[in-house]
Amino acid sequence: MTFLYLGEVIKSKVVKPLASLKFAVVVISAIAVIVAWGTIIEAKYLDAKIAQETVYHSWFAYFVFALFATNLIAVIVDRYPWKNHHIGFISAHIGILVLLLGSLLTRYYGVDGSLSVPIGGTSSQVMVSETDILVYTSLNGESFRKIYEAPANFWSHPVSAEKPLKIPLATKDLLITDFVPYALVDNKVMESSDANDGSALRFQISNDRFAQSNWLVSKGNRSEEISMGPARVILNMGDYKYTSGNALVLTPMDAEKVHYDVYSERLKGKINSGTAEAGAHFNLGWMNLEFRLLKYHQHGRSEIKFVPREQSSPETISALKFIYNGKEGWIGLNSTVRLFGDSEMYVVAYGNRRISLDFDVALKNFEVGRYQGTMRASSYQSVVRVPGVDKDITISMNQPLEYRGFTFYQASFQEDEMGKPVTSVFSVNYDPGRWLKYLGSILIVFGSIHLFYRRWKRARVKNG
Amino acid sequence: MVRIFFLFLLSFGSAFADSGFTFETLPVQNGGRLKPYDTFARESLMLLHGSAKYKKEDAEGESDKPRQAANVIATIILVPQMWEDAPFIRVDHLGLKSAMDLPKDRKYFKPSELTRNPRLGVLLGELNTKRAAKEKLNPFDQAAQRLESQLVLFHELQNGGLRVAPNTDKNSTTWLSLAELTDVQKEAYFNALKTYTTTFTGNGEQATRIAESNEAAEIFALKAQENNPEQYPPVQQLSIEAHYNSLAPFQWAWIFYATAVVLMFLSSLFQNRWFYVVSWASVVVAFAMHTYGFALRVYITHRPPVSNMYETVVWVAWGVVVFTTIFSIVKKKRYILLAGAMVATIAMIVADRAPLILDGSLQPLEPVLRSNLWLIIHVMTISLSYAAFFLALGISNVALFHVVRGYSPDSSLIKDYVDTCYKTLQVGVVLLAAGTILGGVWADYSWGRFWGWDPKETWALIALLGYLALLHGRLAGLVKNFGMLAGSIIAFNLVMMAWYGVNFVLGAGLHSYGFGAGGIEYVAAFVGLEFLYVFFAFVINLLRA
Repeated sequence: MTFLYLGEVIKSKVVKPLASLKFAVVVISAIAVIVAWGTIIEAKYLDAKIAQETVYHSWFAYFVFALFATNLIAVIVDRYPWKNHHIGFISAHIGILVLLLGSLLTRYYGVDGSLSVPIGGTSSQVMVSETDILVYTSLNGESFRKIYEAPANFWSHPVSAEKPLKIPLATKDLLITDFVPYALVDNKVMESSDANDGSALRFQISNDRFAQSNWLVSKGNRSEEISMGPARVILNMGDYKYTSGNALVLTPMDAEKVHYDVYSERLKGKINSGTAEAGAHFNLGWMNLEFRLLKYHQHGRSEIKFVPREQSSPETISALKFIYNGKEGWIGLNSTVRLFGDSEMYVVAYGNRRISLDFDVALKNFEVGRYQGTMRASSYQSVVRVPGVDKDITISMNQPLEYRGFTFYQASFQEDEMGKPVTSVFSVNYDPGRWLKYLGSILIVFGSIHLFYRRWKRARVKNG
Repeated sequence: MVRIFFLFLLSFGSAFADSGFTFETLPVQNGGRLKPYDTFARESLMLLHGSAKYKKEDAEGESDKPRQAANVIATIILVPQMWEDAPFIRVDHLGLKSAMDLPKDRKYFKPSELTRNPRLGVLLGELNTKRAAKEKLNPFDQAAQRLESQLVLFHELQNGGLRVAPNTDKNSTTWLSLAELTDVQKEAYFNALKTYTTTFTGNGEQATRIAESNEAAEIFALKAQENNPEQYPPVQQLSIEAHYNSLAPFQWAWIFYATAVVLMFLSSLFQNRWFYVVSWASVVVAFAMHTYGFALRVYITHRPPVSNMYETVVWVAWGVVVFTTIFSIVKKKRYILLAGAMVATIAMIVADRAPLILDGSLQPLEPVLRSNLWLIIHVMTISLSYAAFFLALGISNVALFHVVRGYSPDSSLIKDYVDTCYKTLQVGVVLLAAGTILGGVWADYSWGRFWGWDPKETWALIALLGYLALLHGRLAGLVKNFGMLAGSIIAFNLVMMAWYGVNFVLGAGLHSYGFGAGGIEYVAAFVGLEFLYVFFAFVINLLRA
């Protein structure tokens, strides 16, 4: 008796108001306004991540979605006991709940990242969009120990000089005092007065269709090389030995001059040599390319600066400002910084989280199809091998590979300066909520068609 | 089956007289595909001059007879020096003109004054720096980029950059330009070009000159083909495209839709049933042209024609006519045809008359859009829902007209309008929900993400939520008859945002292949007028009550 009564009270005092159409209209409108705001944020910063972090996955968006779910559950309960003519109604509304549940599963248990594999190489490291800060320490400079690891989400946990993020190290704190979401990396190479610094030079390689300039900076007095399509340019600090391929070897002589040797793959050996100073140019002998030495420092050092920008672009990255031991510094996304304590050393890493697959993906081949007479890609595909499958597998646009619960999609590729592809990029996905989302979709579409069809029919019976 | 269909189409098509110039159907490799010279010339003149035809204007503003693109481009290739000092390159952007110190009141400029402009180098240098940094280009940069492509194109035409024959290297798909041809081929091409241009200006009998020109073009085609016969397309294929160009089926479509609207007005003015019947006949002709134009585009591009703004506008107009027919049969009310023909006319005029904003040229697809069933289904479903909402907007506009004339929103006449409007919205909501979900299925299938809050999909969702709020509000009794009519007009702004705004105003997200620029003032005027109209009807109705 009392239970029945209680049920009635709950139904009339709780379920009814929550199931009301007016409440539904308010909630639907609120969702529309919130997500519209998200698209404006994305357009303002040209960045999908900021819209996700500050709007779509914000607490207020989740709150409104929770109200929405409450409303949906209430209307379904309100219609109980269900009749045959409720099929369309219940199906459409349960469908939305199922879809939302599936999305929640994907959000919290799914993986959505990218995997870059060089042609001829292998990889198992999937990079996801979440970022972490890690700190390692070492006393002797050789064996490192991880002492700090935490997600770095500065959108939902902003930092400032007044309210920095404190990372306790042995004697002093490391303070993160600023977060710049979009910064251009400005790599400036300057003359150094420290004779321990290696050499640095800037050069241009060009022919009538192509021009490219680059810096080569020796780090810690070691040789440095750069690959430019069919050829390599090497800054030789004394420890380089030529083996094969097209190569230009530049060896610093004194404060003004460098010695150069040009090797050819086709002619199997040295084809040219001489000395050059800044401003000098000579022909390389391959592909009609000309080399020009633009700048040269016998001792040089590169300094990285982060120039904040208003908007995101493919060239910008996020950067953190930190203070340690009274000194300021910057660290860019996916890079590390060394800090020195009283007797110990630290390596601070800021970067995208990596998830290790328990298998390697090997990229055997990669092909790009171009629209005739242009460099526009019309299609691209990768030929990969995975353990346990004894044949080549082709992954192309709209033709993914499913393997051990993960799905690999052809996402994009990277080219070298000559427009030759070097790395294939896959989007890697594990989605435990997928089946729920599909089930919800089917229920929604079936339900709404059924619902409207029944109303039309009923209206006809009434009118006719 | 498909083959038979196209054979039927071809026989239908050949019934229309073509210009009959073989030269205009010669293949040119440009923009990633082979196109007939005619298409190349039209697209080139559109880029250079901002128009499909060229009228030479002298100092007094007197003008010659307008000349066709094919003719103009041919003379640029033949006698480039004649065009160096002809003011025909269109520059619109005021900021760009002032940055280059060009007079703001002029629209057209000489190639020579543009290429010799002392500030051009700096401007293009800055543009390159921005492009190298991969930053988003603002309208000024886009205008500079347009000028750059205009000058590059003119330079290419001047210097024999036109790619007209297959590569002799069998492994290369890049065709050879005029400058790279053998002397024999060059001579044959210029002979074909000369005889072609003299058909417009020369003396003697026209028919003989055309025959002479066609023979010269055929001789060149044979010589060009020798380089690599496998890569040379059959004449038939490209002549279909030339036929599509010269027929302009979508132009005929809107002319007949507009005729239908006029006839419908006469029908209600004279209360004469025959006007209604003739109006339907006009819609049938328009729809046949509309469908035929679609079929030709599908045949030429080998893909469903819904991959850019222009194509979706044409497709939505098509959907509007289909829904108009269905609802006219079900409801047996004349105003549905009036509303449907009206919005179809507006959409088709916009598509046909604004080539600088809605690019109707046939372009190759981005890799992700190629050969994908889901893509086709999701775009077509979503666009069809736009068609239903667009029709509802038309019906509401007609209904508000009656409200302004003095009908009460509770009268049986207006109630019937509201009922049709409500049902149209229901169809739209089902299609939009299904289309948005299918978009998720496509995204999941293509890059493993069912929902990624991409602005395009998000705005489709917002439009869906807007209409759902309207339908639920109606059920809750919050929205009365007038509210339904006003709501279906105002909610269409959400569709405009999802359809046009995301690509042309927001310009962010993954659907970048559909991005464009321009036209915002027209869209804003349309939106503003609709708001004023609703407000006006509201006030009139309020005063009366």
